[in-house]
Amino acid sequence: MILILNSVAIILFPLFLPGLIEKIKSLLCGRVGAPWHQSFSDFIKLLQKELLLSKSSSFISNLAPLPVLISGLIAALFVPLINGYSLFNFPFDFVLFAYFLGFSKMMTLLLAMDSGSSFEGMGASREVKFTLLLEASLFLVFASLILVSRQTVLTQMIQLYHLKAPQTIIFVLLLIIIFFVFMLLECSRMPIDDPNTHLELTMIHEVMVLDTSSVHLAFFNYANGLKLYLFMNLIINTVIPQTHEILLGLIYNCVAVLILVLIIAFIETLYARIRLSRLSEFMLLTLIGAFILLTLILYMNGANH
Amino acid sequence: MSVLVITLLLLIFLPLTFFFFKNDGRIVLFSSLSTTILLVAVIVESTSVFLNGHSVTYTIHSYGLLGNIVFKLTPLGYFFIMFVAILSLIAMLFSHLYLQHYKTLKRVKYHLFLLQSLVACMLMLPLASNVLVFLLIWEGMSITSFFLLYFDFENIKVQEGAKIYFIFMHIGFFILVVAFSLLTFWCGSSDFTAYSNFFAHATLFKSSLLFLLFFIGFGTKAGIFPLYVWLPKAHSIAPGNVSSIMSGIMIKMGLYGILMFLVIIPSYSLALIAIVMMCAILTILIGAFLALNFSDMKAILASSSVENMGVVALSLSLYMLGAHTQNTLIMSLSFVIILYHCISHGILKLSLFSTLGYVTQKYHTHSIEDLGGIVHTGKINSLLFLISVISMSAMPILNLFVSEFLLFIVCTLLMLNFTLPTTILAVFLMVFLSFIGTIILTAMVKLYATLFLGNKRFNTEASLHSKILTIFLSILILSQLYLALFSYQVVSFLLKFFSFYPGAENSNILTEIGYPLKVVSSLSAIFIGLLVLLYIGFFFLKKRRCVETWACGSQNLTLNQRYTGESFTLAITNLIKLGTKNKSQSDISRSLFSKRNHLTLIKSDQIYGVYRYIYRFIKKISYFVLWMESKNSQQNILYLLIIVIILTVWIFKGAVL
Repeated sequence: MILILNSVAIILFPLFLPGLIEKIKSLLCGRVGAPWHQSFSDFIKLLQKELLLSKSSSFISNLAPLPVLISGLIAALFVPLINGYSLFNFPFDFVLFAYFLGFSKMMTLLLAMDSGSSFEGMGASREVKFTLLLEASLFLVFASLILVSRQTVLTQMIQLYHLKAPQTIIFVLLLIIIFFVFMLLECSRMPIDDPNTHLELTMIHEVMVLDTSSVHLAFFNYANGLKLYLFMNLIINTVIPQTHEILLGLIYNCVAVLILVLIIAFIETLYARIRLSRLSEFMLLTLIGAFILLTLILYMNGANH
Repeated sequence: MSVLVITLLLLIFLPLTFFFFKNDGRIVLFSSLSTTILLVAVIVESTSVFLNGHSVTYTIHSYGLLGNIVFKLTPLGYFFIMFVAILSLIAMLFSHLYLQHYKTLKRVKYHLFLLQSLVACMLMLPLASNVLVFLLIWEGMSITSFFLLYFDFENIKVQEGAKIYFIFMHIGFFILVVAFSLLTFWCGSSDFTAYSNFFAHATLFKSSLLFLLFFIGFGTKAGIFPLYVWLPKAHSIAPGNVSSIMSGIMIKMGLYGILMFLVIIPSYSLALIAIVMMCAILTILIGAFLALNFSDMKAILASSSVENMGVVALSLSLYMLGAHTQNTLIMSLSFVIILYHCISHGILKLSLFSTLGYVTQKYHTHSIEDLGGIVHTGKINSLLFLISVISMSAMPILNLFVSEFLLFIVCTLLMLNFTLPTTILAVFLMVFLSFIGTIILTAMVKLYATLFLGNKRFNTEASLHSKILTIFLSILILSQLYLALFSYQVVSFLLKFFSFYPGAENSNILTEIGYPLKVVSSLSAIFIGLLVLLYIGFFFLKKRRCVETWACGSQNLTLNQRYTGESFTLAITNLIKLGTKNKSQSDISRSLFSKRNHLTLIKSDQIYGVYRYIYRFIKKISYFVLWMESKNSQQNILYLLIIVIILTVWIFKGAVL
């Protein structure tokens, strides 16, 4: 039953989350805005549209959206979702989680370079720079989690609610902040990237899929929503304990997702996007945060011994 | 065993008959066929010898000239013979295609003779069981490959690259001669079978010193820091078929040399482990950044070879760490990673170098910036090349990821089971590998995207379409898929080679990594299955229309507006300046209305620059010596007088004091 619920969550949440954030943002700005299910309606509309391809594009444009979608779905298998259970797990699955996200990025980069446009190449170049710092930070965080949990399965690694020592509160808080920043970076949210502006010179993710349309664009949007949901669950499951009561787990998860959506909407309303030249510094802050996390866990381990 | 040796000798001497042929296509065909038959014979014969458990040694009496020439088949030797024979067999197919272009040239005869001799040397090396024979074959390998590099000898760049290769190979050879001399002196025997017993009783200092010398000496061939700099230079000037054999197969012979001693040395000092690990980390770092910076397509691949050999060297250091801590799990895992990575990298480099060799032959350029849109001239070969590029980036569904995954497992095990310094080291390695993974991914995307994607940037009618190339690449892709989808079976097979060496009896590696490997393979199969199904489904179901590329309002994108490979990597190279030293040469006209300006960006390896300083220093000393020597006879008498005075003082100083 939990598996079915998680499978449904993986399909549905990514379709509605972006629309929900936009709706709350509109309300916070005093506008009525598009309905909360707008992203789902867009998805359906895109599936029905005619597929337009650039004249200079190759088989990459036809192929790339599929690995992006499949990679996202396989990465989703290892992340604990509702009730704290993942769809599938095995020892050292955290490596696959990171590498499948990386593979999805590689195919997006190739797609961006396929159309022969200068703008898409510019976006690809920026994306790769942020990936460089993000991957290193992600593995630093995973290493810290392995050390604190003494586990190698992602689901067990991130469940830190059982830690009782007072210093672990700092650890968990720092971890949540880092995961939150990862989420903003990976899913191109404000203040890192603003897909809504459509200003090609400053865009990152959106400019890479400028020549993508119809079902391909729908897949990219879905994969982006899926990443958002996965990182939300990584945050949620660090603090919410595993439970066998399905209804309780579902309520916990929905409430936690809603809180995170509210926080994202608040941030996107209050802050303008960071200047592009300053983004590297922001990324380095994540890396430093991850280093502090590791130092903290090494100190805690030393104190325990 | 004798059949095996005779077959290998035939492989060397049969090409001598080529000189009686006319210069036409038949010679290439005859060479390909004869090599194929002989290589199949080598595979069959060595397998039958190995499976029958023969420990037969074949001795040729040279009547005092070289002592007894002994050939012996060891388990490790068998692995490398099979590796060289199978990959050479596949490489011959591409060689046949590549040499069709030059079939009327007189030099092809020499080329074929050298090529077969190189393959024969590589096959004989693992059989050598005597220092002198081993060094002779090793030198034969260097000499034949050096002359193979000289194929386009009219080109000044080819001459320079070949010279650099020759110099570095002989620096490595000199180090090996010193190492083997020391070993023979200390052991009292030049027979390899005596060394296992020697290392079991040798002091830590002796074994560490010898291993370090062997690591640097063999590491020169393998492309490991500090003597790796020949690799990008030699590969970029080598003919396509030679660069694929050199990168895919020959550099692994350096690895064989290191492994030969690695498995018989029982323990390592921490200082030695630190040195080897430092060399490995620097090799990976420099290789990855060189691949990111270079614009020469073959230099990019050669640099990625350096990075991969760094990964192998890192596994070597982890094996040594395992031996130091008596942890058989770490030892066996590292050993399997080395062999698995060796096979994967060999197959990948054959496919990548061969395709790019074909591209350079057709389009007459090495720079990726001159080309673009090759995909439109041969879709199938471009797709097959893309699969190799994805694999080279160590992405989850293909073979190179498996060895990367196993390395992450080793790091995690080190993190969990060891002391604080080991934990910190393991965390560092884990983060470092992920960081380098992204750099290599960027370099590979740059290579593929600039070369293959976008609009056509060349005016020639050349195309990538070739049936032989398709067959050749398909064989290699299928091998890659086999390695990825049956990784558990491959690892179990490779583990058998470890079982012949001390310390393997307590290894429970398959219980630890068996399940994760099976899951990775299954997920790869699911991924590929889903991808094929969805692609076919959407290709037929969805109507598509082609339109102009969206250029944000501007009409008619020109070729010059396309994002170049250089600008693609600029975001990273601006952040981390490492690997190359950039120098720009411009002939920008000073006149107001100049028609054409030209700017060339020359990138050279920073470490190669260090060697150039050393070279200049040695040159200055030799000039000084020359200056000293060229003086008149009175001055020579003065030198003699000074020496006599110094000697007198030295001899009588005891008496005076």
